[in-house]
Amino acid sequence: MKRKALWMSAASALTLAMLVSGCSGGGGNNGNDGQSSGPSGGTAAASSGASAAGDELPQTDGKFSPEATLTTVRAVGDDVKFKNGETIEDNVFTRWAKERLGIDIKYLWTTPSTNDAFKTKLTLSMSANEPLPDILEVSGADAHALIDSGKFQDAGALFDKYASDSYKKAMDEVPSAWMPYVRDGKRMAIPGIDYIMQHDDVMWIRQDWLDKLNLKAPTTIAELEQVMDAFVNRDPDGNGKKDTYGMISTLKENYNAWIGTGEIFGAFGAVPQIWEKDDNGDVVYGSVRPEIKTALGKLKEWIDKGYLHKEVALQDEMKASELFTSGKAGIAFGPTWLYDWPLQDVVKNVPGSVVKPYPLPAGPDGKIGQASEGTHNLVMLINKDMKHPEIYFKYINYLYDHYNDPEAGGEFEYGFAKGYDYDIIGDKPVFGADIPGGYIDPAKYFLGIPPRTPSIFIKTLADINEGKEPVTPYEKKLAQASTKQQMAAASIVVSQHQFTLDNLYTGAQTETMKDKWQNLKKMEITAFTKILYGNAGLDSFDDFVKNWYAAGGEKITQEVRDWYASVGGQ
Amino acid sequence: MNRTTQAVRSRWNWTRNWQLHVMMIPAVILIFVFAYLPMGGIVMAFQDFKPWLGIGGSPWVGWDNFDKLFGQQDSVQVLWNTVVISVMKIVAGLIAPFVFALLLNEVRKMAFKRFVQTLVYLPHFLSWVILGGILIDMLSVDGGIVNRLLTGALGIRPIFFLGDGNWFRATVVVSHVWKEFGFGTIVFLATLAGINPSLYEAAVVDGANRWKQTLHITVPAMMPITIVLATLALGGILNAGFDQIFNLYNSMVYEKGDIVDTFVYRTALIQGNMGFGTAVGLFKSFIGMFLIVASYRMAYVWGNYRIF
Repeated sequence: MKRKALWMSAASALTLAMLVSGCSGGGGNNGNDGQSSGPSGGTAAASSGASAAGDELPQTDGKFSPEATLTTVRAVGDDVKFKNGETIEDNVFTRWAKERLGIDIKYLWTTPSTNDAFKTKLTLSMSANEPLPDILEVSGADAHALIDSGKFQDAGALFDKYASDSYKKAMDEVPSAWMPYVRDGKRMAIPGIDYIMQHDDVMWIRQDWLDKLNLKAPTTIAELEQVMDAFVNRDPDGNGKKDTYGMISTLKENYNAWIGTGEIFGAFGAVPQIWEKDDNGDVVYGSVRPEIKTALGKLKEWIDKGYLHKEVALQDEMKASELFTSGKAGIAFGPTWLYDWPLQDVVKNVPGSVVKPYPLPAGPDGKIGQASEGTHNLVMLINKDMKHPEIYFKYINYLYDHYNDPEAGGEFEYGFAKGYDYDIIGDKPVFGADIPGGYIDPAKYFLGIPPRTPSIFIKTLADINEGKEPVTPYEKKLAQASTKQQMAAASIVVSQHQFTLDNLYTGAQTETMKDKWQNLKKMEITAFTKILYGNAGLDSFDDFVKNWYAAGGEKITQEVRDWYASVGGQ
Repeated sequence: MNRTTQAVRSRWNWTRNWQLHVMMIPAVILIFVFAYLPMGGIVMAFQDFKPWLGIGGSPWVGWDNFDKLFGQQDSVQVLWNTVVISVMKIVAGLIAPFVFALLLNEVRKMAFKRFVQTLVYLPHFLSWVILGGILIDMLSVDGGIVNRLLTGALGIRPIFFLGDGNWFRATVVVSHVWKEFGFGTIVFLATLAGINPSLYEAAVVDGANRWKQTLHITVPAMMPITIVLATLALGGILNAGFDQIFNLYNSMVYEKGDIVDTFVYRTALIQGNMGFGTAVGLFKSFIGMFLIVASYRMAYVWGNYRIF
């Protein structure tokens, strides 16, 4: 009897526990319902007002009236800083959106940016069938699965309908940005276009080393070898020891990293690890082109001769750049900003050091080449259930019209908000550390990547470098904030941009890629590293190419070509 | 003992100890909710899982996810690497703290003993992200402190610890043991403290010296806990240490250093392929469970020792 009673009590305890957990689960759902009813309530109220004026929300004085609600989610990283006790939900930007545009921005949830927390939270909320936000910004790579979920609407059509002229003009500079997200002719995500050419590389050299050894900056690979030889063997740092390297580089995983080696390959006619056109105009994977073999042989020679650090295959960009900033290496290939960070540190560490940008050297046949970083990393998805997408476009259009390239005397002439990214002292604008209470970038609070006209940034820098007087607020600000080195590098980048190869395959992983790509990548990096370190002869490259095609590369190449043709590439 | 007495006794136990059993209920519920209910998610191993479709709606793919794990050219090699590195780690990770605890136990100065104990325990708290950077510097061929000592003292050529497959495995095992053996030492020292001193007194009376005492009293007394630790470690044989390898490996040592976890990370987890991740987890648990059951049996058959 007793035993039975015990079981009864145990069972009831269990039921109770389940009830409790069930309740708390229900409570959570209720909470979410509450949150989601916020926006729908808002739009419902708004649309009831709108029904008189037709389909769209009523506006007075350029703002929604009554207020319209826009829901979103985001990761808040350490780079998002606040002042005056503000939060991501309530800050100078959200208040501006409310006052200027009549948009009430609501965050359904936020996460830290570390450990994939955002992706995890998004996945969990989707599997729990929680309502998705009106707009959702994710990386281009993550977007494909989300598009396939069918929970988002034809963003391209909305863009055509609602985007302002200045926004459209910016987007027209990079029409290929849409390509990865086209499904059945519909553009399912809006690419968050970024500045082009800001990742194009130049050759950074220790000018004081060149001067000391009486050398000229190299313009060809052959001259580059001579300079590196001198940097290694003629003791440029004058400490009497043979402890310097010609060039820093990363051959760990990504050959086109921000301290790159891609341009060495490019000088021989092929850029590894991207899809490019071969001599016949067919799309091929760069790493298996025969030109790569010659370049690998050259790099092996350079490692043997000590031009490159022996552990170049172990180093990531940070590790490699330490060699440069500690004054142990003389050449680095990298973007225009590489001087500002981290190369500039060498000036602090080694008194008297000077770093200057030079054009990429040409190969034996006069070839130059490097990989482009593409047009964007992030995309904006628009919820299928969002009844009034014009709310989002109202916001982004306004920023493209007024903030992207602000007019003199306008709202954003010096920055987004006084006391945050600029201040006025006396009657002069001040920036950066001069702002009372410290500099805060309100653009970090924006709903996704800030508005950017792709060509404007590097082009403007180059123009200023070439003597153009800064006139517009944007030009003035750039002239004031940029280093001489970056401007000089920008000029070089613009002059050599024709040699930058776009990665022609930007779609989602193909069927065969899903199964084979990682194996092929491993095969590639292992084969290359073996050649570079002399564990396999240079001719093993030919075997690698054969194996690569046999282990799925053939099929993937075909899939990539089909895709390229299907999105209208020529 | 016949059946009725057994029944009587168990009823007697219930009556007498029911409070104790009631106290167990929260733990049982927690285990049920957090350990057994989630096991339902194992079905994801046989699905092409999509978060927005959920477990109920995702398409079934049969053994596809397992094919993906075993169908790759290098999956056998990756499994072999994992087992080799893991076994070396388990063996070295048992011997080192065992010997160290024995030695430390002979130290008579308490302050020194405590100091050393804390000191060797400290690396346990460092993360591999930090240690990875430190090790790459220390083991560098070019001016790394270890190679400078080796070339200086022994006059040999610098060793490419992280760039040569076999040295890489050794480096991984040694650095793992260095980081973790302080923890094992504590467990063994606790066992040593629990040995009845009268055993030693009796041995001294019988004329046993320090070495004989160690051999015939200390070591046998430590065997049970050693077997327990070894058995538990076997359960994780396919976990060769993702954090560590991921921070140390590079394309030069893929052939000898790529393990299941890093392989899966590159293949699937970066792309958020949860079905595949579950399949690998299930496979690892399966092997782990098999090994635990096997070693449990072996400990009983050969050592006549029941672990649980």
